[in-house]
This record gives sequence, structure tokens and C-alpha cells, in this order.
Amino acid sequence: MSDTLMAFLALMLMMFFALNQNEAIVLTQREAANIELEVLANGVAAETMQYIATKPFDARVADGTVSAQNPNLNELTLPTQFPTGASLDESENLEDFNQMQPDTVFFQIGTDADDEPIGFSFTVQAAVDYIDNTGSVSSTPTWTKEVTLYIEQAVEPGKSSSLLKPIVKKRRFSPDWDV
Amino acid sequence: MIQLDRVIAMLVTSIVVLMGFTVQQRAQQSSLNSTMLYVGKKQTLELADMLERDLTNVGFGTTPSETAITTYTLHADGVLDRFEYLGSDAGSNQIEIRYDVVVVDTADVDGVAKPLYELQRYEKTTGAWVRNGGSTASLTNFTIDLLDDNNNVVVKELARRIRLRLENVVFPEINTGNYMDGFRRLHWGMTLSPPNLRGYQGG
Repeated sequence: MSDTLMAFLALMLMMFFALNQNEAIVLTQREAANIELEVLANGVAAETMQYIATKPFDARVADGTVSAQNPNLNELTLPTQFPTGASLDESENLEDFNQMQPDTVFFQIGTDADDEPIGFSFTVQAAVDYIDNTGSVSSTPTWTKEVTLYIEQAVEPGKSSSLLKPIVKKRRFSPDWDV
Repeated sequence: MIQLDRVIAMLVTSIVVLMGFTVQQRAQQSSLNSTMLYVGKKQTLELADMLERDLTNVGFGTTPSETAITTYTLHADGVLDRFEYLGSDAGSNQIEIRYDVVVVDTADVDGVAKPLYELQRYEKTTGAWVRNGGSTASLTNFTIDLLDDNNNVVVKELARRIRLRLENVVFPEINTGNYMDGFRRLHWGMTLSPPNLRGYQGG
């Protein structure tokens, strides 16, 4: 009787061990899918940041109010006056990207048998802040703006994303002159 | 009765040892493949950084009407063959940069024999081309499309934008035949508008 009990216990232990190991393997596979999406999302972030980099530092720089000849910090757009809700295409200056409408980007990775594009969609959101000399967010204008992009996988309601956490990409910008 | 108990005990021991061995082997495979994938991700993102830095500076230091992209040829399957352009080094000096994408092997991907490419990056400051950077020989796709402002494909003299797409295949150390343990494809790409390409070459 005790032999049978011992055998039963050994099997139970082994099953418990196997269950744990299989769970670890499933997590590894989920992480593998996450890595594939992370690389894709990184491409979306890099492309969006390149696009943002083509825009003027501030609306007051774009209209010539602030320039190398008139480097007046007080004329720059105040953080409290940063527009919100603009679309990516409507945004003309760096501050316009702040709290913009989430933009959806489709990254095509190939085509199916019917020549239809296959790929993944990502949602891009952005925040813009002034940064002071200590690298902290400033409540008043400075010559450095930091753009932070948040890239998430766009999924249908009720479905879970394979990208486990959003990709965050930051870049700092200054006007095109020495200040 | 004692004999029967011994047989049962031996049977149970065998099953337990076999199960333990199988589970351990699977865990090791999974761990190895996971490591390979991390290495593949790191390599892909490092390559992406280099390409972004390079291509942002296409046409660096060129004058109006000077040709920034001097060579652009493709393989038969559309993969880039050679791309030569005027760019910039880390010290903001104009240099010539060349990408050669060469076939180094073939691999069975989804049951199809696909060429494996390697990106070889060369620089020329003065004199001869010098190899400086590139990728591992695991690219199954590497395309550069030259576009105008409306994203139409154009000849190199009229290019204003560059669209880059690459696919880096990560092969597992141990392939059990299970898809999740098999190769993984890492895709990366971007479209960029190099500031020095705008309004210059081609007038």
C-alpha cells in the first residue's frame, strides 16, 4: 500500500513539474511574438519621429516671431497653450503633436495568396514637453522640446494585443540656430 | 506479490525519469531559442539604427543639381543589389557610402528555398572603399525604394524619399519542427525624407 502511495506521489510531483515547465514554454512563445511586434513598432516609431523632425520647433519660429535675430524665449508657445486633438497630418509645428489624435499606421510585411496586404496596425500617440537644463520637464518655454511617442498594437475590441507593453521613443529638438 | 510491486515500482520510476527528461529537454530548447531571438532582435535594431543614421544624411554636402545617389541596382527578386550615395561620417564630413547586398546561402523558409543575404557596408573618404559595418547573413529581404514627394517610385535622380524594408530571419539553435520553436521573422522598415535630398539632385 505504501509503495503504491509513493508511486502515486512521484507521479503527482512529476506532473506538477511538467505543468510548470510547459507554462514557462508558453510564456517564452508569447515573448517571441512580442519581440517580433516590438521590432515592427520600433520601425513605426522611427518613421514617425523622422516625420516630426521635419517640422518647425515652434509656431512662433515658423512665423518668424522668434528667430536667431530675436531669440526671445517668452515669445514661444506656452505649454498650457499647446494645442491638443490635432491629427498627425494637421500638425504643423512640434507642439501640435502634443496629445494629438491617435494615428493608426499599418505596417505591411507581405501579401497573401490573393495579393492582399498582410501586416500589423499600430496606434501612435505623442506628448510634447519643454525640458530645462537639468533634463526635467519645464512649465515655461526653453530651447529644448522633448517629443515622446507611444506605439501600441491596434487590435479589435475584445482581442488582446501581442505587444505586451507600448514602445516608448523620445527625442529632443532645438531650433536650427545657436542659442 | 512482492515481485509485482517491484515491477510496478520500476515502471513508475521509468515513467517519471522519461517524463523528467522530456520536460527538461523542451525547457532547454525553449530557453535556447529565446536567447537566439533576443540576439536577433538586438542585431536587427542595431542594423536599423545604423541605416536610419546613414539614410538621414543621404546627399550630405551636395550642391544643387549634384547627384546624391550615384548607383542603384536591384537583384532579380527586387532585393537591393548595390546602393551608392554621398553621405556623412560621424565627424560631419562628406564621404561616399556603398551598400552591397550579396547572397551568401539559401534557407528553407516556409518550405521555400529563399536566398539569405548579407548587407556589406563600405565607406570611401579618399582612395579605396573600406568595409565598415553591415549585417549578419540572415536577411531574406532588403529593399530600398526611391520615391518622390507623392510616394511614387522614381529614378534615383528624382528621389526625395527613401523607403526601406528588411526582413531578418532568426534561426533557432534547435528546431523541433514545432512552428513556435522554428525560425522567426523580424521585420523592420521606415520611410524617410533626407533633408539634403530635397530640392537638390535633379534640380
